[in-house]
Amino acid sequence: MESHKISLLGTGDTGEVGKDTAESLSIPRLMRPLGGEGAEVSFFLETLRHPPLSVEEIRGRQAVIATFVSHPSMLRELLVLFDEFGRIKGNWDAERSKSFTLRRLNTGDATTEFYNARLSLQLNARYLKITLLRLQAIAQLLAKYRHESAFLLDLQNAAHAASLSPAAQELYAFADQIEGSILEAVSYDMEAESDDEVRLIHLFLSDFRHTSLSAEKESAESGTLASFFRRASRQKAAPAPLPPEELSAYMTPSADLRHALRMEAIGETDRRITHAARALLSRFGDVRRDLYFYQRAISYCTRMAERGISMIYPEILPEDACVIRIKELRDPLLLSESSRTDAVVANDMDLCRAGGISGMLIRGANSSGKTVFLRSVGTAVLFALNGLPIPAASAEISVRRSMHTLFASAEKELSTASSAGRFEEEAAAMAQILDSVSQSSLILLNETFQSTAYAEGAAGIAPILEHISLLGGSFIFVTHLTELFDTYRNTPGVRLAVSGSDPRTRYKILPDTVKE
Amino acid sequence: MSCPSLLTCTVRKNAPVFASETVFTDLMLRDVFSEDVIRVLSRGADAGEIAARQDVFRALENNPSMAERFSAMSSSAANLARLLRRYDDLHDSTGAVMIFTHLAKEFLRFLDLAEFPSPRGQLLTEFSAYIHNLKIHPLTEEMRRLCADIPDFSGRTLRIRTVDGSLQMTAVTGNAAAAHFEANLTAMGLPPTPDRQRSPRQMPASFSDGLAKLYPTEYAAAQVLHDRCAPYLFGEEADIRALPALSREIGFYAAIHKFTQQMREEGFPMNLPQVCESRRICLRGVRDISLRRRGLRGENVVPNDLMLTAEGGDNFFWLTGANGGGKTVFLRAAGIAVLLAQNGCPVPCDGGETACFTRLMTHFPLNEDFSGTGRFDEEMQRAEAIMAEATPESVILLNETFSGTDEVKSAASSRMLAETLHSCGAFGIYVTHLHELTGSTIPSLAAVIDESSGNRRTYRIIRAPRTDSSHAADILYKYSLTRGQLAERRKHLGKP
Repeated sequence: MESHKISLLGTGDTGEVGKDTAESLSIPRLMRPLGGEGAEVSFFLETLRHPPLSVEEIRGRQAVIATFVSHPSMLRELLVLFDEFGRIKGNWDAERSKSFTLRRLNTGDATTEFYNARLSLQLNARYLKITLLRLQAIAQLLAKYRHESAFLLDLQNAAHAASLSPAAQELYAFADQIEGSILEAVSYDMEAESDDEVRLIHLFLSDFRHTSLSAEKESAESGTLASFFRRASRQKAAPAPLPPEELSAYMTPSADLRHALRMEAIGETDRRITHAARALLSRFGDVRRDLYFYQRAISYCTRMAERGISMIYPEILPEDACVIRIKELRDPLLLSESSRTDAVVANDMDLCRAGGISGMLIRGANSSGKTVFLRSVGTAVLFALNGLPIPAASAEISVRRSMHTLFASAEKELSTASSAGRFEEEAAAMAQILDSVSQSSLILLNETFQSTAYAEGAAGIAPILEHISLLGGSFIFVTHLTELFDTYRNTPGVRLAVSGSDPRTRYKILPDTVKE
Repeated sequence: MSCPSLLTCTVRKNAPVFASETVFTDLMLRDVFSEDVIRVLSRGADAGEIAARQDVFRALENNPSMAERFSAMSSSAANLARLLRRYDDLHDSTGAVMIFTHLAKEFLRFLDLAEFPSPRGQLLTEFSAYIHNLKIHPLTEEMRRLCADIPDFSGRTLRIRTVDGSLQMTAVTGNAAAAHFEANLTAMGLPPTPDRQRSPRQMPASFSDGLAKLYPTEYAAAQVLHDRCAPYLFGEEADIRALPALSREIGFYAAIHKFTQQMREEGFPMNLPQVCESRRICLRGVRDISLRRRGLRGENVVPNDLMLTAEGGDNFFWLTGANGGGKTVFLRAAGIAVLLAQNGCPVPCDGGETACFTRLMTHFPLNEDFSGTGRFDEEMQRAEAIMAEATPESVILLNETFSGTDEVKSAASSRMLAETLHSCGAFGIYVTHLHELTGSTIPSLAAVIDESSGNRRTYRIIRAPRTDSSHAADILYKYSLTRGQLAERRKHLGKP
């Protein structure tokens, strides 16, 4: 069985989304009304930046979201259990720290040292038990609900193996025995190996008992002592009898060596118990954070549902399909904020390299919906690639290795930077974007290179668009650089579009068949 | 017959150092080679040794199983050293008898690894003959027969139980508690507990006595082996104590061979240059392997020829040219080539020949600490030391020495240093930005730029009469966003 971290988001390779992309697409603004703590929202936005490159993993996320939409209580209960699970490490560290401080203050003789070692082992065994119990609860919760999500099934199976399997129950029993009885132990069994230099290695505590062996021989005759200990201790098997003399050898080491051996055995057992607990906490440690992503996703779905917006899970296609094909897409931000959702105009999007189209230019009057369209396509692609549903009638979207946006600062709050400064900043940002362009990259540009003379801006951006296409990427470019339309009008491979200019076609993005 | 060395044919007592520690720092080799390898490389070799070592490298190259054997021999020799030390610690005790079993088995394993079926070259031939004589010795045969019947005393699992003031030991059969614990972790989907480097616990004599009691048959056989074979192994015939010294020598070949394979995988050609008697270095296509740190493969590194000769005063050159033009890279490539060639090792180049040298010196001031008397004074001290040691058998590489002072002083000091080295017949290259120094009796190399293409750096180094500009302003040209630059970028990626 693998020992990788359990994730509800996927563990495969991920694509790269520009760090400004979510902001450019106004996704933080979209998420704001949905509430949530700062850390949760940050994690959601950060997760969006690394969408899976595997179709299966994206579908896996879709299935988790669909499950939580159907069973909202499942998500709530999981969050509670994983919050408790998440607190274990902090509590454990606090107790270890306190215990360590006390030990430092009470450094004494060998007896004290040995007692402290057993205290440490007892503490760590207790937290192993606590961790196992929490995982049991999680496994039992997941088994309560019917679901077909691969990620949730993985979590369920892993939690079961880690807490309810025979191996886990044996480990629990060992930890329980240590927690209950180690401080009263008097006699110890250790196991070790000899190495090729006739030294001992890999000491490990394998058993302990509350009477010395010579006393046990007495108790077999008197009966009283043995029954006292059987009543006092937890369920414990009778101590294994001494092996026959002929199969044994005796050492009479110094008191120091005896002490050192016991310390090492206890220490090694402590180390393994601690490792087991830490490994469990680590293996399931990311799930709580992954649930934050789904919590935001469910909030988004819930909000859309409350506003009467129907959403679909896009069909996800492999990377080499290089397609964005969406019917009746509406902008999620407008749908979330507008008082009249029926007034939000839907548009279609069709960009497909197999169909010979690597890019799209969009022109039109100011405030005619060009940027909203660009934003809605960008958000739809980004959400789809992260497994979220989108407000459309249908969609086919292929995996993207990278996605970047370059929205001119003219669209944001007014900047005090001069045109020359803005142009150099755009050039620097563009150079950085081009460093990661490859096949299947998607670049969304909004009025880029307009902070210079128009002819120079057009002349400057044209080879960049060509470069993106030649490297196998796709672009959507909202622009007022109309010279580009003249350039591309007779050049195949780039779709030209224009935003509607009359009341009937307001906010519609239409094919540009007319020269301006 | 005493154990022959695999590195040296002659005994060169008190041989001077070929390359000091700073050379390895300047050539960025400290994280490429281990300290043991650097120790060997720093000594260099004479012409006979270079040829003999090259034979070993050729043998490793032509026979992949031999390379694996070398690695295994290196660790076997290291094990022998460790067991010998422990045996000596335990003297004639029960424990020593047990350790002797492991020692004998390791010795036999070493012999099996060390005999090469068709050795080539002086070093391997002598070594193989030595090993062969050991293998066919009657006592080696007897040792092999006796060892076959004795299982190891290592890896025995014991249960140790506290019984009043004593410890009772019993042998454990079946799955030990720790192994069972780990098996449970695996079944739960958890990684195993990481191994911890703890010092093994030294035990008193009663422990090995106890082991002997627990395994009486095995111990009796070990006693017989020890009594019969210890005098032979420690005597003059086998002289087992001489073998551990081979560990470092074998390790050197294993490390350099692995390095050579790695370089080839990364696209760097690695070849053994011929040793020539004429005083010259003619290496074609030398490459700086440290460019790997920038993610460059060998095929994308521009090769350059290293051509220095005592004839016609072409032993020492200025090297000037554009910033970022590849001058330091070339200097390092030259240094690495000379260092490895002088040790009989494969060199990152396309081939060629080189004379033998007795000293390699470098001066890359950026790698130095000038917290003492001041940069110029310290550089002058270093320069004086270099001048004092320079001979026609030296190779000296200087990178912008004296650049940390005013131009007049820099020019005067640089001219003095270069002329001294040039006239004494030392081989070398001196990188400088002082273009007024070029065009003198000391010949010049230059880093070539393509003026027709916006002063693009070609990284080629050629002989040039003189240069007059570093084109520093070009480095300011940012972003590489023109049509031509983008086309170049796509070409590099294999796109149209």
